[in-house]
Order: sequence, then structure tokens, then C-alpha cells
Amino acid sequence: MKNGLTLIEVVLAAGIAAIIGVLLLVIIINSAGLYSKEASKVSQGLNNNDALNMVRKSIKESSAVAAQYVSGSTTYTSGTTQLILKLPSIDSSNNIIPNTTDYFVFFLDTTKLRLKVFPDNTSSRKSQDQIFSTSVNSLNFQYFNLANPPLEVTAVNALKVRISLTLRQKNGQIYETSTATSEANLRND
Amino acid sequence: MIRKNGQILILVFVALGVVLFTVLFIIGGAQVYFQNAQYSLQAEKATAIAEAGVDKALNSLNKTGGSYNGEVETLLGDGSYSVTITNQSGANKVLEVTGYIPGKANPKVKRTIKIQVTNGLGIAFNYGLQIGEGGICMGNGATLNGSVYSNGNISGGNSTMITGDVYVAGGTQIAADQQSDCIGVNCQDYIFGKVISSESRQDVAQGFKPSQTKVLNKISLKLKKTGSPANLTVRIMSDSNGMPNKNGVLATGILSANLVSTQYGFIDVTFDSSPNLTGNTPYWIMIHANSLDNSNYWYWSSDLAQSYTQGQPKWSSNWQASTPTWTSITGDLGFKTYMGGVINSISLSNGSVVNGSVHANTITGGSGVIIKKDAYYQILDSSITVQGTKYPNSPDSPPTVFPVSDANVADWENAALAGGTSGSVTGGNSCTMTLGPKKINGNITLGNGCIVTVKTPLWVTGNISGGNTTKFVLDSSFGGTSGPIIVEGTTTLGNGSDLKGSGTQGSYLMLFSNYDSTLSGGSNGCAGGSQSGQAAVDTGNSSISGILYTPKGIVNLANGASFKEITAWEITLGNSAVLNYDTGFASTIFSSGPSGSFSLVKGTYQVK
Repeated sequence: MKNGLTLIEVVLAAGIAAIIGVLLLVIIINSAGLYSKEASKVSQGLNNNDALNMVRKSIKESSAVAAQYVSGSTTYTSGTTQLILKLPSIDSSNNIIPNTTDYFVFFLDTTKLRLKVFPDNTSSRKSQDQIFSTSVNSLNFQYFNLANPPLEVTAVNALKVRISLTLRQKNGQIYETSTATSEANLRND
Repeated sequence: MIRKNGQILILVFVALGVVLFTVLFIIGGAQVYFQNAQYSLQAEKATAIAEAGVDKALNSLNKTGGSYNGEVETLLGDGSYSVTITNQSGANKVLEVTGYIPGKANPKVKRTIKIQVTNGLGIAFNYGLQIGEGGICMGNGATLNGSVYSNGNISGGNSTMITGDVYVAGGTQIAADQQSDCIGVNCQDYIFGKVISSESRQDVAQGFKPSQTKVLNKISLKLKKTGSPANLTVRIMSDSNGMPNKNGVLATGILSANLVSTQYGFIDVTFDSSPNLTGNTPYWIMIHANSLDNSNYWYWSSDLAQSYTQGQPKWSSNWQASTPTWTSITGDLGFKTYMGGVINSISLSNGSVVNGSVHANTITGGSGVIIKKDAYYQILDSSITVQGTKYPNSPDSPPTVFPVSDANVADWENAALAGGTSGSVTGGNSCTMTLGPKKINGNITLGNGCIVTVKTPLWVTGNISGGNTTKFVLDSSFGGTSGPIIVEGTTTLGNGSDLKGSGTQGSYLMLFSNYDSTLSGGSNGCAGGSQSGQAAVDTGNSSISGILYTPKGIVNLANGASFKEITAWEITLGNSAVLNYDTGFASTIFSSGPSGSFSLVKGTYQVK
């Protein structure tokens, strides 16, 4: 007598293997989806943190919000999606140079939150063109005075600036959104 | 058939591996995100602790008269801070305060705030060229390179040019429309900006009724201060049942604390826009102090005789409360109101050009006058070509307030007097000398090529006359601070003269002339480039790197003059003269301040 499997045994074994295989595949797909979703959330959270930290630090060190800044053929205007800050220039020892100004421009470039730094000729700050996030859904700057409660004012009269940033990333068929808000007073006004 | 065991097991291991990787990644990602958020939070805490350390250091400096030397480590909240103080030249010190979380020994996060403090007087020259009620008088072919803001008329001869924008503010009547002041024993202090007898006096208001229906251009308030309180917000408000109407704010202005000293003086305030007031109708001047502070607060002079009959003063703890409570004050608070309605104009003769926009009540001119951008006006001569857009019926621009008050000058004079008194000073050609701080009862007369080192404040009761290439230089010990020479008489400088700072960036020598050109016939504007009175300062053909300040006088500029900063009642540019000037200075620190207390220097806050 030869040892072997009956046809029924083979079919049963193949069926069980197929079921287990499908289940494992489902687990793999779900895990991959979860991985992607969580990776997106972490990335958005870190982006939000970094962007808001930089904006808040820049606002604190600002002397004023500028109405406009012209760089070549581009004119930046402080408003809901653009913020132009005037920061005192610094020398090579990181000391402030009196009566000179560097300009920090935060602005929305389609879906990118960008920072451009335009230093004065005498400043030791370097020119910068930095992208904080590539998945911005909305950006909103608001300008306030220091009244209690604060009253909304025009950008050039602002002593406090609030930023609301919403990031939106496609994850599979759905979009993940993450919103953060921060504000700071101008310390060098 | 070949039997191979463990096929499913391999799949199970693969699946388990994927699940394990996903779980580990999620845990790791959450950990990274948590640490990032935690770091951000701790960084903010460290910054807040460092800022608290700055406040503490400032307070300690003032309590110890400047002898406080910092702290090694002081525990505060979830962390600690350390303070390092570096003496700079003049009146300045640099504070470096580091906040640590959780402590200095093994900090997870630290942030350092670096900021300057001074016991000098900070003055913001916001305009490179600021002109008072005397206006600007330009001769034929004169050129003004830059923008200009004038409280008076601008008159130009043929072919004059202004390369920037022009603002001519609405004219202000010379005499006060309403005023309240006190005499002798009736002069009492009304303290606000602190809690007095359980009264949280944060908002104080004085009622008044204008005698005429016109715009309100300016008010003056009789104030003094203790310590270094923050700027005040001043509002003009309508009346509601005998108290300020919280929904009736007609205009808002900022009263700069730097203009107020420890002695009473009338301090001017202008507004973001000049409000229209109706004659014989009650209105309120309302001052809001930003905080209640037992060390830094305000005094408003009060007249116990209550001689002002057109309104009374009141105080409130919160003018914006849903139902504000206003309590009457005994007395009348010192104030003056100045109405507008005086028509100011820019008048340029044939062939003149303004490259920017013009904002003026009335724009007149000869043939061929061109405004290359927009025109905002009530009246515009048809002969003038406006290449931009015309905006008829535009309201007048509000006048501006000069950045130095009479109280500031009185402090400088007292500081000079404390340095001693001498008679007139004379120097021949190529002389060198050091003057000040002191009061000179007489004149300074110098030959050509003199170099005068000045330790300010220097107060000259007579005239200053300098030959060609004579230079006044602020002593190098002043470092980054600035200082004033105060002249009661006229100043005449030869060609190539200069006013130089200490050599450190941000230091300037200011020539402050108290000479009143209106007493010698000076009037608002001029005709054809001829000045209407004796000049307070005549600069010759000079490139001056200091500050010229003549609140009541005319500055007469020769051809090719260039300046850092001019604040003058009137400027006269001779025929073919060209005036170049820099932009204003946001913050200039003068070494002799009115209060003697330390305060933060704006524009020096840095986070490291």
C-alpha cells in the first residue's frame, strides 16, 4: 500500500490554505493601510509643530508687520495667507544692528507653506527659501492689537499675530486633515 | 507526490512580520510625535521662564539702582533660570537670561533671551523728515529726495521735484478750543494705572464740549509718571448718559510713555484719523492704562478749583465691561483740545514734479506741474496733471506729533545744569576742545576746521557759530547711546560741517534748537522759496550724519545738503538745493533720561 492523500484531503488542505492565505493577506493590507495612515499623521503633526514653532519665534523677534515687501518682480503683501515680518538685523556676533531690518515672509504657495528671508546688506543672516509643508490645505493669519480682549486690526498695526494652519494629505482613498493654531506677541514693536 | 511541510507557516511568519513591523512603527511614530510635542512644550516653558527672568532682572536693577549683577540659578515653576548682565557703554546693559527645563545641571531644553535695558531715554524718529506747522519752502529747481510728511504748507518754486510721496496734514488752529489747567495749591495729582484705596483705576476720562463743529486734530494732556509704565491708549468717545459711550469710539491714538517725565508737562497726542466733532456737544477724552502696577503708573494733573465747566472727569476699572461703571472724580483733569479746519496746501510752480502720490486738502500749481501717481484732495487745480487716480473729497491726513516733548528737554537741561555752568566759548581755526556736560551761559564761536568733543547734555543759552569743516563729535564713552546739544539761540554752520556720534553704530549727536522762528516773522509756508523768518539752524553745504531737531524753528539748507534725520518746524531749501535723507530711526537711546529707571530697549529682543 502506498501512502498518499486522497483527493478530498488535498482539496480540503488547499481550501484551508487558501482561507488562511486570504486572511493573512487581509492582515497585511490592513497593516499597510494603518502604517500609511499613522505615518501621514505623524508627518503632519511634526510639520505642524515645526512650522508653528518657527512662525511663533519669528513673530516674537519682530519689530513690526510690514504691509508689503518687493523682491524683484514679486510683491508680497501681508494678509490672510501672507505674513511679512520685520526683524532687527544681526551682525556676525549675533548682536542686533540698530535701525536695520531683515524681512521674513511666510506665505502659501499653492499647497506649500514657505519662508523666505530677505536680509539687509549689512546683516549676517543668510537668505533662505524654506518649505515647511507641502500639503497645506488652508493658512490663515489674523492680526490683533493688545487690547483686552484683543481687537482685530490691519496687518501693519498688529502687535499680536495668530496663525491657523490646516494640513491635508491623501491617504488611500481618503484625506487626512490636521489643524493647529498658535499666536504670539511682537516683542520688538 | 512530494510532501513539503510548513508552507502555511511561512505565510504566517510573513504576516506576523508585517503586523509586528506596523505595530512597532505605530508605537515608534507615536513616540517620535510625543517627544516632538513634549520638546516643543518644554521649549515654550523654557522661553516663558527666561522671559519671567528678564522681568525679575529688570525689577532687581531698578530696586538696586543698577547694582544688581545677575543670578546663577533660581528655581521657577518646572525649571530654573540664570541671569548674566553685561555693562555696555553709556546707559545700556545687556541681559542674557537662560531658562532651563528641568534645571541648569542637566537641562533637557534651554532657551536664552538676550535683550538690552537702559536708563536712558528712548526716542523713535519714525520719519526721516518730519515737518511741523511751518511747512516746507523750496526754491527754484530744488529737489527733495524721498517722501515727506508735513503739518504745514509745502511751497515750491519753478521746476522743483519731490521724488517720493507727499502728505500735507490738515491744519491745526493755533489756540486751544477747550482747556483745563490748575494754579498753585489747586494743582493736585490724580493717580491712575494702579490700585488706589481698592479702586482699580485703569481707565480715566475727562469730558469736554467743543465750541465749534470741526475736526479735532490734536489734544494735549498734563501728565507725569513714576517708573516705566507702558504707552497709553487715548480715545475720543461720544457721550452716553453722562459717561463715555463704549460703542462710540471716534478716534484712537497712542501716547508715548517716553514723552512723559517725572515732572508735569502737556503731552501732545494725535489720532489715527481726525474725528469730526459737533459744537456744544459732550465728548470724552478717555485714557486706558495697559496695566495696574504699583511701581509703574501715571499722574494726571487735577484742578481742585474745578474751573472748567464744560465737562467733568470720571474713572472706571473696565470701560469695555458689559455695563461699565464710571465714578466721578473731584476736580478737572489738565487737557487742551485743538481743532482743525485750517486749510493746508501744496503749491508748486511751473514745471514741478512729484514722482509719488500727493495727499493734501488743496493742490495748486502753475503750468506743467505733474503728479506721477495718485492725488487725494478736496481742491485740485485743473492745470495739474495727475497721471494716477484722482481721489476728490478725501479727508485731510491727521497731523503728527514730534518725538521729543518739552518735559524731555527740561530733563536734559537739568542734567546739563548739574554738570556745572560756564561762560561763552571761543576757538580759532583748527581748534580742538572737549565740552560738557554743562550749561554754557553765552555763545560758542569757532573757526574753521575745529573738532569739538562733546559730553552731553550740553546746554547753550546763546548762539553757536562754526566755521567750515568744523565737527562736533559725541565722546566715545557714550558707546551706542546718543546725546543732545540744546541751543536756545541760532546755529550757523559752515560748509562741510558735521555732527557725529560716538563711533559706535546707533549713536548720534542731536542738535536741538529751541529757537522760535515765529518770533522773527516765521509763518506757515512761503512764497517762491523765500523763508519768512530767521532760521534756527543754517547748515551751509554740509553732509550731516547727526540729528537736527528744531520744534519751533526754521532749518535753512544749502545746496547738496544731506542728513540722517531732520525734525523741524519748517525747512527752507534754497534755489537748486538738493536734500537727501535717510529713513527714520525706530529707536534711539539718549544717555540722560527723565526717569532714571531701567527699561527694556525696544527692538533688542532675541531668542537663542
